[in-house]
Amino acid sequence: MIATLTLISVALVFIGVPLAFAMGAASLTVFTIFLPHLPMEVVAQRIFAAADKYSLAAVPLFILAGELMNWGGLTTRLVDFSRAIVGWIRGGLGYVTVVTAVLLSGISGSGTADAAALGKILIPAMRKQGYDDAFAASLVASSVALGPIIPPSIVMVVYAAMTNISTGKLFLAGIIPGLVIAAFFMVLVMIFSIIRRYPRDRWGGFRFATKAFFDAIGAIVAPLIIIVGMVGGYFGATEAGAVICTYAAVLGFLYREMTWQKMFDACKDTVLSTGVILFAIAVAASISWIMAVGGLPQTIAQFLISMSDYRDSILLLVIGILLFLGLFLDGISLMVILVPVFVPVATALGLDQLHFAMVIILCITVGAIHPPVGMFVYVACQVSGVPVSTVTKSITIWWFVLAMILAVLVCTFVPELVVWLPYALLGK
Amino acid sequence: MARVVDRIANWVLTFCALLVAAMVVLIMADIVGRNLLQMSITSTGEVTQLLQVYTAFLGASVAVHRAMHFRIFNPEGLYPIRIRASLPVAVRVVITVVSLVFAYYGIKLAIAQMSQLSPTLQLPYGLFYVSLPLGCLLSAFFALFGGHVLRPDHPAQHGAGKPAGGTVV
Repeated sequence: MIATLTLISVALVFIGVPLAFAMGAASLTVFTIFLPHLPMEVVAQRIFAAADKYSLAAVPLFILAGELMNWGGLTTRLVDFSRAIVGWIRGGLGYVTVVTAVLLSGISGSGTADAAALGKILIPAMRKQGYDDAFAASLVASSVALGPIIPPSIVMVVYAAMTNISTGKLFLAGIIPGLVIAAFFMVLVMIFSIIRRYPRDRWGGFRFATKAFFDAIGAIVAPLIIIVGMVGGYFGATEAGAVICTYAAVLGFLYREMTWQKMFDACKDTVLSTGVILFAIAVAASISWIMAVGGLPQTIAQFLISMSDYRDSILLLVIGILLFLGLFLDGISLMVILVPVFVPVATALGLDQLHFAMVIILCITVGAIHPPVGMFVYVACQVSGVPVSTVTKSITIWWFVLAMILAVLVCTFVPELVVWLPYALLGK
Repeated sequence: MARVVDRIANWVLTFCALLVAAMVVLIMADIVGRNLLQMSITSTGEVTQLLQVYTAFLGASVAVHRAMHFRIFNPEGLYPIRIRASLPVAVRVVITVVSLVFAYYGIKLAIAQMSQLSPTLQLPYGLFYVSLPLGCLLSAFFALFGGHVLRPDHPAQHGAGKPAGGTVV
């Protein structure tokens, strides 16, 4: 049953059928052949039930928040602020990229939206100052990987909906790992800047920095609004999406950069992304159910446990599988396929579900920056006009990939970095 | 024909965009009511879910028209020319058949659920379920008459062997 399911899915995927429809065809075929005693409505019911979860309303809301933030001029103000505070250091624009990405990640739930926003502004600015294209594009593509890690995060919402763990806790679990990765990137920027003698901006003085701070204060406090609102019980993780949408729209109007037409266009873009994600999750639910009926997760768990007695080595194996498959698959697809398989393994091993979730999310995010798939690289290059081959042929991007893998390993083997904050603020 | 299909896709997209906007307004009204006026809108969760399922399944259908669904391989350029020419047809057939089967069983499910009422709004559950067959019928329509199924709008996703879809991670 499982072999048929896999064979059909893979064959259809290889002729270019979208993943959701390939999985749908596979589940319908397997259901007809192997489970003829069950009514076919079960498949439709599983698909509908997977999309009909209140927590998934956060997906369109956070996508819309990212769109509104870009249309409303928040990104430009954050870049100006970061430039005022760290632009004067050697390789200043490199640090500016990382700091802006951290601030932006606290508002936007999507790394791709961040890549489009930052790539448009910072890559041309770096080119103008003499930074090489490969470094500029690699840095932007890597820094926006903080988007799915630092809350809010669409990937986390999807993961939480697939596994029924708390979205709020998962959001908080991403903060420290995100800051660890940002610190690793800053060290890399420092090393590159010293070796390649990248330029710096002139220090503009405290008055200039204060002005930039007050210009950007609306965007800077947005992540605090989310965290205080969630921890204080004013709104839940899903509702936080609506709060940020409203906040971004109001700020956009205050900055005189938002129009009703732009808002409506943002809603239209949101619909397309939402449809793609939720439909894939919904169809994957029918596959998960068939796999569970076929006992696949238990078989894989037993296989992994038989390979080693140590939880750490199994975790390393899981990380290896995710990083390897990340070479070929994009993040949400990887999650849709593997989360139903890996979560029972984690349960069988007695791993902390929150910690395991973050390990998976971190690995998936690494896949978004390294070639050949590296979606963030493609978006950063596309918006800035840097040829993708400049990045893929250069070794620079691999230094950032390496830094991220190192951060993944640190967060895997020091679980407190992940679980301390959510358990301290929201309880175990 | 292409212009008509495009227009239908735009209507669906506009309708769903309104649903998303309504979702934001409704949830904000509930948060404000709950925290400032000590007055909660009890049906918020239910209406949000109703709007969300319609956005998801109708949005997915427009994504078929624009070839935006997650695709692991873009086979253009990977196969000999003779095979390559037939790939879009095969993809259209698979999407159409899968969508129609989902739509058929979705309709049966929706009819079966019409007598069940939702807890707060007392709406027939079938109204929620109708979103699935409606979205799937539109997906089948767009797969048959819509744009190029292997060529996404997003330029970053063009090219042989590159991934398609997945623009929001």
